[in-house]
Amino acid sequence: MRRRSSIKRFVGALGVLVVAAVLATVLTRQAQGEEPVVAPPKSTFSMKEAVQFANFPLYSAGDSVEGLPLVAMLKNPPAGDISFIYGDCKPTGETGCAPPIEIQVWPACKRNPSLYDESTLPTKIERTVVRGVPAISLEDGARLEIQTGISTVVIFGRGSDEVLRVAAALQGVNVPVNAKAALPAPALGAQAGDVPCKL
Amino acid sequence: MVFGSVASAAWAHFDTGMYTHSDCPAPSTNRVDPINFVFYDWGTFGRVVNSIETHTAWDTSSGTSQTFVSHGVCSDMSGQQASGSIFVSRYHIRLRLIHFDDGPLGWTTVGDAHHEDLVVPCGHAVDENGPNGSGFDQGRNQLRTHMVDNANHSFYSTWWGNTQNMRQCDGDYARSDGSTTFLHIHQDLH
Repeated sequence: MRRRSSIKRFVGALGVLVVAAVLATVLTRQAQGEEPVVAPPKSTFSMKEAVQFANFPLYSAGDSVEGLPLVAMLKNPPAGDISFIYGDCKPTGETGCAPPIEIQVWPACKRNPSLYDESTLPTKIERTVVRGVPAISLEDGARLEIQTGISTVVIFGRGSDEVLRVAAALQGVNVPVNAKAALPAPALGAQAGDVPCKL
Repeated sequence: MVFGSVASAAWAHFDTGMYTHSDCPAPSTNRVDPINFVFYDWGTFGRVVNSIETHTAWDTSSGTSQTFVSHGVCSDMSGQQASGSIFVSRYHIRLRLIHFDDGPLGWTTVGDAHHEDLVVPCGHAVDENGPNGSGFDQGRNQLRTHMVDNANHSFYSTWWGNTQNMRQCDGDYARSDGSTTFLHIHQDLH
């Protein structure tokens, strides 16, 4: 019994030494300006699941957009919205980074224009129409939120022109909507969040 | 979304970006963390640090630098507070004094509260999106719990929708749930 606990303590101490050594190596590399060790992007959702998804209509820009491949798909708990991430970026050992383009599709019951109090928002909201349906543009056009059916499609991009091109490229994943075609009108009450959540 | 007893009237001059950045200038391509905390009224940097250090164990100030934008101007952060060193998993917030708003907000300092795991061999990674929110939500909620439940600071929350996912060095993604906490800071130091 005493021997077993000694071995456990030894293994524990060895583990701590290994972690410390690896950490010291990582920090030394970073201090010397070397690239950090970064893992590839991880998806938490798949295109197969997206096609079969029945909670609300999903839209993506296909396998690639603006020359950027689809690198990851996410199901974002706890809201349950779905992300399509295009292009990658370089995080460091101390900072994350923003991928160039992200399409987030929310159920309108969870995200809709009525959530915003414009008198207390540090960015202007511009109302517009995209592919025949209402939309709002924020952050000088780098974010666009489109109301269609019972979904809210949010596009994050690098500028207003790019975001509008991505909006034009949106196509249905689990609904038959082609790129550039008119999007389905928002469901009654969707813009106010007065639609039931089917999650 | 929780709305406290403080009425959120129109702001006269409050202006901040919704994300921190890795450097100046600050285009959307070098965004790093969502801003999810605003200290207001007597929210000067020194008072904010005093409150955080008094009510939480976030009393170290180690970590890399990031930048903030206000009124279209990019600036280095004012400082940072953390619950541990860069060698451990920890809660962390970078802070930037914005300016005096002659409306109801007064002096404001904004921050990007988060929890980050130490991931070997890459370094610090904010906890990925999960049933209890991401590391950004956990950090904001933890700070709010300390300041509100333990210290009676009043607060309210408002929807900013800054939910862009940020890639972390461990391959995961983390984002804010889009809600920002406004926490009242009083004039007196502790």
